[in-house]
Amino acid sequence: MDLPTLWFVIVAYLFAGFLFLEGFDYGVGMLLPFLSREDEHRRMILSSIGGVWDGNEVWMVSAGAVLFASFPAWYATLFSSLYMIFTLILCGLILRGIGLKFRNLREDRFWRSTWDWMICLGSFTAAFFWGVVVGDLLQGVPINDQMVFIGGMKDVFTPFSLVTALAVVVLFLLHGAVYLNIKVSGDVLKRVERVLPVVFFIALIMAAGLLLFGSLKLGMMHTAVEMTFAGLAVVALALCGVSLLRKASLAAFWTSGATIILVGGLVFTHLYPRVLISTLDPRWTLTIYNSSSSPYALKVMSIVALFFIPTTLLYQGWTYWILRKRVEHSDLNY
Amino acid sequence: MDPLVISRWQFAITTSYHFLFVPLSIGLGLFVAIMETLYMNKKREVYLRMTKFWGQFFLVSVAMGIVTGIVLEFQFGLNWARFSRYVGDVFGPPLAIESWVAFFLESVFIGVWLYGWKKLPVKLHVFSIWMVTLGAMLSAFWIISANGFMQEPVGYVLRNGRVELVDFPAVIFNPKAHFMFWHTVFACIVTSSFFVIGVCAWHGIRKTVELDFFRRSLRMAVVMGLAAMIAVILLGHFMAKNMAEHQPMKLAAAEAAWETRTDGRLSLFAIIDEASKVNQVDITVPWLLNVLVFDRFTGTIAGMNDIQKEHVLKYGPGDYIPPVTLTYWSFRLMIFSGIAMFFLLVILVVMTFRKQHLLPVWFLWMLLGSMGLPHIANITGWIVTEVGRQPWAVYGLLKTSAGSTLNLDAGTALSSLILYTLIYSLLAFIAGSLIIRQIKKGP
Repeated sequence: MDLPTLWFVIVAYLFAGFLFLEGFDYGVGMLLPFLSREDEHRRMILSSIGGVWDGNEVWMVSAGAVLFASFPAWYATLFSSLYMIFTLILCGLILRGIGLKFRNLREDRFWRSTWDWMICLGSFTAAFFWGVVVGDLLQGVPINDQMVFIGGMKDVFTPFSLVTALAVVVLFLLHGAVYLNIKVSGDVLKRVERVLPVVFFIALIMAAGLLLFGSLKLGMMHTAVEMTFAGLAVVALALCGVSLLRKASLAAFWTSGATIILVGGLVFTHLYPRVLISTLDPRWTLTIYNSSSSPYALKVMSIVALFFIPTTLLYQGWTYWILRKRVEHSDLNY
Repeated sequence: MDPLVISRWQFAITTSYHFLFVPLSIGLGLFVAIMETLYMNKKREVYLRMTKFWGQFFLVSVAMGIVTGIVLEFQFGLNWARFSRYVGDVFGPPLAIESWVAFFLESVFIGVWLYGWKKLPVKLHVFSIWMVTLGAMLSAFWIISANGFMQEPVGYVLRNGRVELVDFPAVIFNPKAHFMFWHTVFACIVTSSFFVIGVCAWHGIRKTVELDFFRRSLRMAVVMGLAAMIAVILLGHFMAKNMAEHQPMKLAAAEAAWETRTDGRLSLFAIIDEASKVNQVDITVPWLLNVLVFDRFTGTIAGMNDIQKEHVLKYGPGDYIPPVTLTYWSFRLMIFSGIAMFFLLVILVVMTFRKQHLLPVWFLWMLLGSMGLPHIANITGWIVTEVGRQPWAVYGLLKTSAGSTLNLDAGTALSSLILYTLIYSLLAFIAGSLIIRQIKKGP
């Protein structure tokens, strides 16, 4: 494997981790105000991600920084092309992040319910517009030979990118619901169990729509590797449904996570070795070779990554172990 | 409106705002870590209460620091695409490493610290807060390494139309970056010291019956604050020497020295006419600048007009003089606030360690008012560093105007600027009122 490919894989790994981990955080955030009106219930819902979401969000931050470092031209062109999309993602993340941290710091009802809606809105905004980014990565954007975006909003918001955006939102909703299904208890758990079938059903339809649209419009899944990823994603989602039917909540969580990771894998394998497609001329498409950093810079980072990727994974895993138990009502003294 | 101008404003606003909270979070993290360690070792209830009380402010500042920090990370690509492509090879790796070495540490452990009060043994809980603090400090190190490259490019070659990394150790051992890093870290400690001192002063004015709690907090803040303040000043001195050697234009602008100075006079107050390149009024002290920069009475400080001529020869035609008034007054404000903080801390050390003596009320009011001083120094310090480097984004290599995103629509840029300004103002109000509420509520 050459260095740019290795770093493409690392970028994909970080994004997949981000989608998996923040997937349920965003999902929980979006579900929050709809699951219950009672403060105690909402506190339980938020406690399920309270100790871990900061660490999950770092996957996104890290993916962004690693993108900058390993493929500066990809990072610069992607972000500047989708300027408004990323701005809205940032605004969503601000609302959500502040909401999650500030919400419990005051007792009054108005304060708490406002932040609950901000958490919901922020999670939705971030999920939706990351979904638009996924769509735009797949369909390409109008960039010229100078790597400059020369399109407008209509090139960014297309029917396809709206489908990917909704698909991402719904997959995250499902992931959030199956996460709550293993983390909460009592009345809240009952409420989660009630919405799960609905969420699952919508997710199934959206995933099918996404695959169909992607296959017809973009010629995705015409190679064996892409077929494998798509097939496995479908299997994983089906297994998630089966697990839900059998009340195997842990299996439902892992299979829903696997669906997200496999869809992420499908996106990246479809792109490879391209990283940002020019819809104007294939010669202007960014690839891992014309957008990567120098071999020396990549080597330096490879050495650092070799040590830190396993280390971070280890201690982050440890914190999940510490906080592994279901949240009980008696834990809600914070 | 020119999108370049909008991007510059957006960068200035989002960065300054971020840096209102970051120093507090780094410094308070250290305070809280020490308090909880004391609790672990001495098993005194008061230290636990201190940990929890000061911990709340730490949390608010961390939350604000994180969300506004992500904006900065993305902003390089959003508004400064050409900069990102041009320096990504050198500038990117420290950021990527920062995310692994620092952000993971900070964010993963803050979660366990918050939610692990009952689930973790005390030792591991204390360990967690230290990891959060370590992560925060390491993140300062890596981001300042990247900034150090923009001030004083090292370890690179020009190849393939961009700067490429050839010597990574040179980038992370850049002396400029090391002075900046330690100067910043100690400034963070000073910032949170003044926060703690101010809150203690307020409860002193209110005569809150928590003498032991606030006395312990105050003593800790005063001792750490003074030690850190001395370090800030010493490191500032080294930075000035470094600046004279590597960025003479910045030093000249900070002094409003249009002509080369051989008498080493230091300007105290100047009315600057940037258009005619003269100072209408300039009150100076002889020799002092030489003492500060060269550690002796004699020396030559190059003036802006001479450096401008040199730069035209070296880099081609253009205006290489940064905004002088802003740089000059920012430098003054930073130094004046620094001196004021130093003397306040010296007085405080003397007063707080006298036995059973209460501080006079007028002095407490003064301390309450001085909570803003470190923030003034922090922001103006960065203005000197960043504005004083103009017109360069990367000194001698890339002008700021050549680093912006091409074909960025002015309306789009303006709408993001308005969006951030609105959200940030609202958050400032909410976070501010929350902090005031927590202060009033007391331990």
